[in-house]
Amino acid sequence: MTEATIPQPLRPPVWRVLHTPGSALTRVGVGWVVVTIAGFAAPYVLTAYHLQVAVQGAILGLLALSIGWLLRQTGLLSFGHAAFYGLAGYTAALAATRWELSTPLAVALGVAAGALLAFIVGALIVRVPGIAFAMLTLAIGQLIYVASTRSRSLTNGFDGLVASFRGSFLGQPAESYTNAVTAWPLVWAVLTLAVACLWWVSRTVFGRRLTAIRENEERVRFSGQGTFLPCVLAFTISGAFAGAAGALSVLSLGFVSPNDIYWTTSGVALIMAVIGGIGSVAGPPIGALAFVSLQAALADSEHYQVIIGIALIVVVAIAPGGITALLARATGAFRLPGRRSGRA
Amino acid sequence: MGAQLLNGLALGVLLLVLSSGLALIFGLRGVVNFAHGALYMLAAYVGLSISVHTSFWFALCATPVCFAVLGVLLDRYGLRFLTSRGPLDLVLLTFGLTYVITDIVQTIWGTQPRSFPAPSGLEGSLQFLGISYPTYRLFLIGVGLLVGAALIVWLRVSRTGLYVRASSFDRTVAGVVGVDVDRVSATVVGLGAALAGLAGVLAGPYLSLSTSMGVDILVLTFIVVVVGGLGSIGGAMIVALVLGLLGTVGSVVTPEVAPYVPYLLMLFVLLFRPQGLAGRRTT
Repeated sequence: MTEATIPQPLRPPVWRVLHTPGSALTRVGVGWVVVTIAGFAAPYVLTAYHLQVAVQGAILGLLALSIGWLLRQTGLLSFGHAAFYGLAGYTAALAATRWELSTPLAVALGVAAGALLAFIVGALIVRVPGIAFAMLTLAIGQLIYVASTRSRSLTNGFDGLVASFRGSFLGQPAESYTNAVTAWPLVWAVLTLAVACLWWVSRTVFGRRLTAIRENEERVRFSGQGTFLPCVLAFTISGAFAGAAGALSVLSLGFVSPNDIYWTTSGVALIMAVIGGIGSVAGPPIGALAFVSLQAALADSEHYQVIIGIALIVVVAIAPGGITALLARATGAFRLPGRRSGRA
Repeated sequence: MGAQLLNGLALGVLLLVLSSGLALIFGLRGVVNFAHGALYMLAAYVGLSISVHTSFWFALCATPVCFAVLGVLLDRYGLRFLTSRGPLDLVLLTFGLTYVITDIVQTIWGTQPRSFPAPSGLEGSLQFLGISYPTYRLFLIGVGLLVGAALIVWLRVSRTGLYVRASSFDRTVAGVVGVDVDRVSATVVGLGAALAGLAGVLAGPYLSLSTSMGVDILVLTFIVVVVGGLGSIGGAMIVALVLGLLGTVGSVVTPEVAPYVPYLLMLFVLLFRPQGLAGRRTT
């Protein structure tokens, strides 16, 4: 018998972006550019108070984006992202204040810490199926929360850590980032870049593989591809963005506390992601901005909790795709050919 | 040491009652009820108000009944229409419900912590076996264990208990063989809510009332239910007692490690046995 060469299946490299119709790409690209540029005009349009609210909203939006993207792409529900968020914040604060590193280095260290923790946690728990995974993320997040409240010498316990950044960061004096006008361009740029980056990742072969794992993990393994590494990598990427949010948060507030690590922070970010809609990559930040605007508008009212609760119940019961799905149905935006909108 | 053991038992018994309710609801409806802690908190406040106007004993009986009705309504007019939704949707719904309940509590009772005085028959301490221990906590331990035992017996012996176990095991087949799953599930959710209500009223004089008491105990309750085994009532009960004892004994023996114990326990058990110690399913 002659040795016939068995044709190997085409294996495109994982970063290859799958074919997106030119018109759709243009639509998305133009939309993104328009929104990004419009966003930079915010300091000229909003009052100081509203701008501060917007900065916090955008930072939470980044956290919501990390959780929402992970859920959308891989189906993994994580209640522990607040740990990556908080750890990044604490690392950046400690690096700048106690170890006296320069601000860019401190921020980079914070993000790296968040990503590293996400990698370790992901490697540990990504194989666990079902609701047990979500509960494990909750447990790990709470473990880190308890650790942050107990180590008074390192983290100052419940009182939280005041961070003083020195030197300059991206051309501005580092302490000025507590002012919303300075912080906004940075935060908005990071947020829109994150949305673009994650959108691109979800269009690559890697991103599609994650979706396949979400739909039917066993089938992916049956096709001969590993599912462990892609999920760990997705978790790490998601954790890195959560860490970026944490570093930005401590930069813009000058303060980090164990409350940032408590599981309700993840829960609120998840709510924002769902209200915005996890069918679309841009959904969670939209949800975060909507949530924060609602909170600011209701700040005088003592009943904002019930309104948020009812909003969440209404969204889940009636409009499961969130705001972006409603917009998609209304205007045809946020929808690319071949992509389902509004599906968890 | 004896007093600490009893403290652990008291907390464990409280967790037992609360987590049995959660395990029941999860076992049957597949709903991880994030609102369970909020129900517990609401029950404590409602119990406080009822006992102020009437008596503690009346509150102890009336509050679980009210919450049972609430649970039945919740199931019949809420959860029943959402069975086709994924687990995430139900998690979020119950999450939203938590916000609503918390706001209701804050609106009616304010945000200041309140204290729930123990009833006159149970004030003070009892002397036995060389230790002096608050009478109310002994009462709590007794009632909790009694309720737990009654629940287990009811599940094993009664016909409705049989239907509950059948529906938890396999909903579809139970429906096929003639069990009215909707009615059973209304019973179960009502019972689960009633148990949360009982735990809330019992906890009132033991722990002080605050608007964060639901959130604080919710994570522990989840740990108990998930480690015990999703859907397994007996497993949840045992783990509840173990956690309560480990927590208080640990805080005396190894105070450094003690706060981490529940989370480490959940981590290790779920890593090696995702369905929990006595559970059968992972979703």
